[in-house]
Amino acid sequence: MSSSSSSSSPSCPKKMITLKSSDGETFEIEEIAALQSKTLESMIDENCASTPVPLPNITGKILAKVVEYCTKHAEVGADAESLRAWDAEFVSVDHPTLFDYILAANFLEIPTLLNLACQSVADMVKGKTPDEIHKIFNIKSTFTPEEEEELRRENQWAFD
Amino acid sequence: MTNEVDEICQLPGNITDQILSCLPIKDAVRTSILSRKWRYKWCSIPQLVFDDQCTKARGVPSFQPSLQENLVNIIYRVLLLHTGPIQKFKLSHKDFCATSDIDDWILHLSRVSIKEIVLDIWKGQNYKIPSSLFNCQYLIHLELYKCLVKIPSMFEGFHNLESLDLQHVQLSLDGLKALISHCPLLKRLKLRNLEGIKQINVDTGNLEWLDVEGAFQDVTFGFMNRLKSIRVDFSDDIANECGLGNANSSNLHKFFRNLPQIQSVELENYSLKTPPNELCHLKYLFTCIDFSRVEEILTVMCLIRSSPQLKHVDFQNRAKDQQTTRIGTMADFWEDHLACCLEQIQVVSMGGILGNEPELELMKFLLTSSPNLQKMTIQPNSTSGEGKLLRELLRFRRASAQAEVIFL
Repeated sequence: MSSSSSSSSPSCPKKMITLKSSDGETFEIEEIAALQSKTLESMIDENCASTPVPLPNITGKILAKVVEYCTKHAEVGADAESLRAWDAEFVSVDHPTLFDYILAANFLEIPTLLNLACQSVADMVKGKTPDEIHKIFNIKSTFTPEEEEELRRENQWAFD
Repeated sequence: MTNEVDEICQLPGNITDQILSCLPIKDAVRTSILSRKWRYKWCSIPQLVFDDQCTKARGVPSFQPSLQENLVNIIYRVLLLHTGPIQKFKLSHKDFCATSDIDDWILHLSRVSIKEIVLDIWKGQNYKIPSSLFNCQYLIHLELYKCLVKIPSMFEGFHNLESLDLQHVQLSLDGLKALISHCPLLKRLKLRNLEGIKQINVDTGNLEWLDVEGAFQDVTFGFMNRLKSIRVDFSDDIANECGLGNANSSNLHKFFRNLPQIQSVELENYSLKTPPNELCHLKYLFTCIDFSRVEEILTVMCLIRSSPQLKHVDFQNRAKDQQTTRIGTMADFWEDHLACCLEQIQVVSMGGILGNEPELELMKFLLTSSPNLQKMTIQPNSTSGEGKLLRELLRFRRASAQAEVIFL
């Protein structure tokens, strides 16, 4: 028996739990992968995860990706470099999808995914001028020129 | 069809806080101009980090005297406009000299349930920590660099402190003892180059992570049955010199024998002399070793054999010059160990290699006894004799078909 594998014995089948999205799709996820979600972890601890877990705020499209993320991050012996590259790929999506990831990660309490997605949004904002940010995120400025002037004075150091 | 909705504003407050926390503070404050809804969003960010990026103006270099003033003003403004609790406060600006303004800021932080303080003083004199710091009862992480710490007599302790990092900090031995013993939840401790402290005595049962560096003459560690990771760097090479007191060495050896949960061990300027008990969780070992000393190699071999999970071993050569050793005794030694099978080893690194016989014997042994070896990295001490070393390396048999041997 090779000693380099993880400690799970081969005769034991992997424990799965079922998640149900808002639009009725079901997804199976390994219990070990599901533990990355604090919400699911406490449900598993309290034995509430034997029937399909309803997740009314997450659509099937997003839930599929969340399951993919958790499964990938639960893999043993993953190379840090390649995982980082995989993560970068994972968040190269359009804004609505990215925000959906954030909301799902927030609801399911998956800190790693939440950090990844939030950092991704922050990276889009970093170093950009206010006008550029307006365009990227569809923000409408409702300030009058006088108000804007007052604002710039209020935090002058940040606008230098 | 344009989407009129501001996408980020739809997200809950805790999430926008988190997104803004990922930005340098300047960018976060700039979002105030985006729209009415955005004006004060930045004011509740839980983390405030003041570093070199704060005083970088676009194109125009900041001059020295005004930089100091600028940063002080920035920090006052931000603290004044900020609302709600602050989780983390970090001040680490390479051109900033400590001023008494920091006292005001720490006093303010003690009133907003601060959980994490990082204070790095890069320029000027060591900063004397005010007593208000010791009232921050919610502190979980404290990190100080180039500060002067005097523990107040009424200090009741940091009951929530889990992580303490003191580097180039002046404090007394009693002060250090008082600090550590009054932090019941302390899990991580880093002490590097504490000015004025020659002896160190760490006796906290809950520690999981320990990093100690300095020119210590006397080191005592209590029993740490939860310790998962340890790094020691005794710059004065203490335990290897017989003259500096065998008592110290025996304390340390006793300590290393008793680490049931240890997963990672890093020893710089220190070599183990007696093999420890079985270390069933050890995954990573870094040690300085004199390759020509049989007892040191024996100790490390014993350690490797009693660590079934040891995946990565890193050897750093301690001997500075070429020593012609008794090749005879070494050859006998390796013959006795030929039947060894080190199934668990996956990565080996060797640094400061001089290319002499004992080193080559060890490399040969590791290559032939590690069927699961994936990578061996050799870093020579100098470029002389490289050719010979390379030729020898190529000749060695390998037990593992996947083993990559990398010569740096």
